[in-house]
Amino acid sequence: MLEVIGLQKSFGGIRAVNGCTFEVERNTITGLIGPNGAGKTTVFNLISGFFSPDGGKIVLSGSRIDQLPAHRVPHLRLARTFQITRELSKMTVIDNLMVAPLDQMGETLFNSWFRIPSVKRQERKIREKALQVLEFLEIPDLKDEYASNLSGGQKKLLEFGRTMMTDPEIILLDEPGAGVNPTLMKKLNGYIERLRTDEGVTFFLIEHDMDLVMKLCDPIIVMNEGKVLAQGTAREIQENRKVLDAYLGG
Amino acid sequence: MSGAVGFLVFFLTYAVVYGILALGLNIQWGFTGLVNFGVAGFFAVGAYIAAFMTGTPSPYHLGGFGLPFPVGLLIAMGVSGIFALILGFPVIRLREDYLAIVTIGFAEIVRLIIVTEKNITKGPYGMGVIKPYKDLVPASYYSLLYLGIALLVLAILYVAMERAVRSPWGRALRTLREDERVAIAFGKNVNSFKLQVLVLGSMIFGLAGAVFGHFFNFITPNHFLPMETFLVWVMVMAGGSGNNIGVLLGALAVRGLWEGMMFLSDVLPRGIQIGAIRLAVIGLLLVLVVMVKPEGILGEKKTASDILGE
Amino acid sequence: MQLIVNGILMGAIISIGAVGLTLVSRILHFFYFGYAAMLVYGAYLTMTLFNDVGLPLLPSVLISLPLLSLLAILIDKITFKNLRERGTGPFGMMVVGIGLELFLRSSVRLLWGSDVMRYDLPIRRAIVFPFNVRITPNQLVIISAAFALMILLHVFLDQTKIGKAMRATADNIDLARVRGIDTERVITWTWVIASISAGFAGFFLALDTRLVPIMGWKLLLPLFAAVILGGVGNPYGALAGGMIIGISQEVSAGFITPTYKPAVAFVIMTITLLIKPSGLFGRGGQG
Ligand SMILES: Nc1ncnc2c1ncn2[C@@H]1O[C@H](COP(=O)(O)OP(=O)(O)O)[C@@H](O)[C@H]1O
Ligand SMILES: [Mg+2]
Repeated sequence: MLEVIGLQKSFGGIRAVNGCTFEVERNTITGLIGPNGAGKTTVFNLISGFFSPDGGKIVLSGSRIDQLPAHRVPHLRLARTFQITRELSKMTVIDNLMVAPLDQMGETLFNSWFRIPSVKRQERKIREKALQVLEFLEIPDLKDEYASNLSGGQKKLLEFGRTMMTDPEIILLDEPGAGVNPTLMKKLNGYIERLRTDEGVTFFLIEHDMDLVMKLCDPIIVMNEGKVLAQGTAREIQENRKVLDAYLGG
Repeated sequence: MSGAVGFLVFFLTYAVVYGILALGLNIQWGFTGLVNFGVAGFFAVGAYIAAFMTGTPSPYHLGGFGLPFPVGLLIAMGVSGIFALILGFPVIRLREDYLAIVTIGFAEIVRLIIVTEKNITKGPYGMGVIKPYKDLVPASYYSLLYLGIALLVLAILYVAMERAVRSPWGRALRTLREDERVAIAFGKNVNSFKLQVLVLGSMIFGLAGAVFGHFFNFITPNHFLPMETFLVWVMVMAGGSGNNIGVLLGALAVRGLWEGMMFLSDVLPRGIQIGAIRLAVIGLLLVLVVMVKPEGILGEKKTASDILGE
Repeated sequence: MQLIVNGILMGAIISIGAVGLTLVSRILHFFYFGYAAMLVYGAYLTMTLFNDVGLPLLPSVLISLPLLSLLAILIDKITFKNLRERGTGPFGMMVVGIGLELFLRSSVRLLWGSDVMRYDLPIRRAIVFPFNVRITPNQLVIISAAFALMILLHVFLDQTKIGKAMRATADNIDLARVRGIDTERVITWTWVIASISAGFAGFFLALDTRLVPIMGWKLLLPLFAAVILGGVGNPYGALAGGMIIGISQEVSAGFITPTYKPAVAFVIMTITLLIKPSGLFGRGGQG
């Protein structure tokens, strides 16, 4: 589904990603772990086109995406969240969701002036979908709340919901569990599992909470100092000496 | 018409011109967060283009081509839009503070060109602009007629702008104002949206210039000083960025303040220049708006798109 | 030849002004339009001390500088300090700076009037150099004083403790804070340096031409061009940028209508922003 080959990225002197190669298989929940500063977020930013790589290839569903402008990448049915939530604070929860779908015909000035009926038709569908997502995430009451008024955990949910709005085949989650209480985390796990089994969505997620990763993810990729250190099932990773060294030593 | 009514009509027409400018800046800054400090430049382009288009032929300046008033307005808008496109295409991706300096520089250069190219614009002497539909009513009622025309232009513009910003298009603009990276992550071509908004807003400034020229019937480079830009900024920031009614009220209030200060000259000692006082007050307002009420008097509407009317 | 000499003169004035502006832009993190008013105040305060109080010229300039610094620091305490504490972004600061520029410029008109004024100096004839280059004694004074000032600024930034702290802060504000540099103190000193820089630039400009309230605003575009060309926050870059802008503006007058001089600065600035926003000498990139 997603292939990363020999990926390189430096910032000034820092080699944040230094020859990374791995693959994310379709319909898996693949975990990406590693100590702080290992380059995980940078890998996400490279995949989603926010940075352009210094070297290497990124292939998504058979087509190369490493040279695409960032706003084209979502059209290949990839959606992402951010490590630090980026809610649109002066907009309502439902607007935060409704802005997400791609190729909205109402997003051209001409259509919004002269093709109102068709724009309305599409807008109604988008709204329907947003309400469904809120229902799915069990926060329908928050629909008209300003996003800035949400709690940290609710913001994480909102970001997750936003990715669902685009009907993605693959979702990249950057630390979905950070700052989320255990109850909500359990729910979030459930949502991820359900989307994978019911809708066939592939997940690629960065997470620090080891218990969670070991339970949820298979396979798991471990990064350290910009490189892939190990890859395998939860058990294999737990038994891997290099991984232990990296975590204890780093 | 009596003096007082005449003055009121003059004042309102002036306010309408600035209302048009404020709607233009609101789509750029208010809804999209796009900084344009070159308002006066596009305002000037619109005024001169309309003057060339509708004027009678003259060896002393470009044109006049004797075109009808509405055609002049449209061409003024078009040319301002082209200027915006040429300026915007390379610079639209610059950070907002650089964009501020570049646009202010652009407006200064437009003014330099008007001052320098005397064969085209009559330079600092200024040029006359026709009174459209002058024969329709007796001369003493003409200013009232023109106020009506200006109001009609403003009303059409208002409806069009409301339609535009209360649509998914407007919602996308709000998104990229709030967080460009989110907009990009959800497939919005941010630079394209910004360029559209720069062009659209600048066309509106051009329209305002044309309406101003036909109202004042005489334009010189001094009508388009950088101060005009900041006057519009005060209107938009104080009135409430992102709220079209708010910025129209802002335009009315700031214009009122501006004209009102004229009466100060009766109170103030002789030799105090009213122009300097006005400039000082506008400057002070800019400082105060940011320090005291950055969101303006009227805030933005809660729901981004209301195309469904719910 | 004459054009190049004119360019060096203009370049010296822009350079001196740009040093202060580049430090303010970087250390305070926004582009301060009110800097134009600081130039104007410098020139006018000097004029009052010289023409009206009757002090000699050099003491007039030297006394105007602390007054200017005081004014700048006072304005900072009333406005920008508040905004810093509230976390207002660079754009809000910039708008306040524009408001201050309009306000201060009008205050010059109210205090001194809008008429063109000059320093009460005997008008001396230009000295004719080889190649028929003409330079007035005033211009010679300006050029030599500007170069002396550049050396003094260099010594200050390179040798004194506060100068080093300023450069460190300009280099990397966060790092400077981590290293325990008192940034509020650095900001105060930045206003002092900016006042010296603006005061001299304003004085030189007025000495070479005349005094009008709009003179600062007119120099602002070339100043920003010099700052951006040299890399925002790089004082040496600003000196070099100022020279390049000054010389290009004046030399361009040989080819195009002289009224278009500011356009030259604009074009150089815009091209820099598009190709290398960090400026010719790096370090910049962030206002
Ligand atoms: N935009 C950036 N500019 C400069 N350095 C960066 C940037 N993003 C990440 N880095 C650096 O790259 C390295 C890897 O960072 P990151 O990918 O965020 O690590 P992780 O997500 O694994 O904690 C770090 O040293 C970080 O400082
Ligand atoms: Mg990270």
